[in-house]
Amino acid sequence: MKSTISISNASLRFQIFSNPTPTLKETVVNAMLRRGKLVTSRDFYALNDINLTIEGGQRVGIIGLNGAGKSTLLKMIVGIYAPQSGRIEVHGRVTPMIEIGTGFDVELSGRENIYVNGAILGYSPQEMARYEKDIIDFSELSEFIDVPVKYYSTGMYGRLAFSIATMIEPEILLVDEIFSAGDAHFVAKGARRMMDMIKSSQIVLYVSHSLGQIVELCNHVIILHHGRIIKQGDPREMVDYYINEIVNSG
Amino acid sequence: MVTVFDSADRETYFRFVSKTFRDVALFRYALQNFVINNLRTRYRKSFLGFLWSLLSPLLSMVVLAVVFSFAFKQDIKTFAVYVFTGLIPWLYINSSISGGCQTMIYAEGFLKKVYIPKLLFPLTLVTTETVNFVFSIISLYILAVAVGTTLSWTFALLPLVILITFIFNLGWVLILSIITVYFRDLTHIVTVVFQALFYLVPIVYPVEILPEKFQWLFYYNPFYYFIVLFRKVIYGTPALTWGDWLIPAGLALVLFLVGMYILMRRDRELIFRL
Repeated sequence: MKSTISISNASLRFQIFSNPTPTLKETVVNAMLRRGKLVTSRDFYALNDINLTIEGGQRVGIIGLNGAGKSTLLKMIVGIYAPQSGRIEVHGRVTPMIEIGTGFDVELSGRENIYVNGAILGYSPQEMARYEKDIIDFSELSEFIDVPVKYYSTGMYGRLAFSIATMIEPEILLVDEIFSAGDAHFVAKGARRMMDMIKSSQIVLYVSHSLGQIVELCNHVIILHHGRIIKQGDPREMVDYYINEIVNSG
Repeated sequence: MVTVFDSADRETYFRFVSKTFRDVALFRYALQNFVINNLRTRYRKSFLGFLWSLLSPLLSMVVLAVVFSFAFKQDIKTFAVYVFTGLIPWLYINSSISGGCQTMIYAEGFLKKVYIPKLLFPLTLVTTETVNFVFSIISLYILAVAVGTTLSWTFALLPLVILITFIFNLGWVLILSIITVYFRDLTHIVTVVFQALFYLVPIVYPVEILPEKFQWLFYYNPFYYFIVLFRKVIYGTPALTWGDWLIPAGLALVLFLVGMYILMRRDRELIFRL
């Protein structure tokens, strides 16, 4: 089945708390002494009226300044954040590429971590067994695969994470600036792998500040600014617009 | 796989509970991994490895038995088994609930990076404690056989007792772990309350030791019913009544359903508070 993502009129409000974690003691004392409100909060729209349709085969790059809402948009699609208003409809299984460190148990070997990582993404051991060999081969870690992950270098760690996320043939892959892991050789190989993944009618959403990579990998680009999609279209044009109108004017 | 989220949809309790159960079933391998890793961490690098999970409760039972039989001038053998039939379920409840307060906070790393049902984390903790509980029961069985205490056939009903206590603990942990996200000091308060409650449960002494006019205190203590059920099932006397089963089962169910209700109301908001 063809994967699609459609988001309509989605707004996500964050509350910024003056004191995010009051203690029970403070709260009780505060109530007894009839002082003013202990926690004040201020609303902040991380995403504002997002309308977006992504079809199978699209590699969508998301660019924007820090705090524009790029990662938040991905997290909303995964289901971590629920928008206060709007509708999100996703056909296909969403797999976020897990950040280095999450879902890895450093005491366990690389091989065991393939299964641990898969389980956290909702994949069964049987499913992961199918991908095990491909993951090990792609990550080029066969020599170290039975060594506890705590002895891995950052690069090795990143290679394993990337291999797991891309080898399980996700229908919808979300990548948030993780790609830098590994040496030039692995980055080039990873880029090729990303290209391969598109062919099986999958969706890739890619958040990055490296505009060169965005142009190279994506066939559609979204510019986010202060939580709004201000422009979308051809990668080259969008990147030029972004550099001229947003980066240089701000 | 189609997922639809619409802010205009009204979430009903029934829909929420069934969705949560479906999600937990989908993530059962994550649960399995978490539990195994917890157990492994607990007994890691110890010379005797998993044998410790049997030996450590057994040894602490022996120590307590010696101390208390001196203090209360009772026959050590029978008294030991009596104390442990109270102490073991108490420790199971206590370590689940006081350890459980922090589960949502500890889960932050996962909850912010992947979609994973929140119930999974209280479930992980209570399951881990349940495995330890089972190990303790095995130790108790060994001890009882060693000192020649005759156990009743009702011992075979233990799985049911474990199930009821499991749901009871899960309900508590669910409720407290959500509240702890809002009030981080709750975990300290819970620990202190449990220390006090220890004396309101007939563990080291029988109910009859208290003057009659104070005995009602026990009946308002929800934990009392679980200890009594466990103890009766092991000894077989006095005979089990329907009330012995229905009160704990009812408490367990109510707590769990209340926990799920609180989770439903806070499910979307929780992530902003972590």
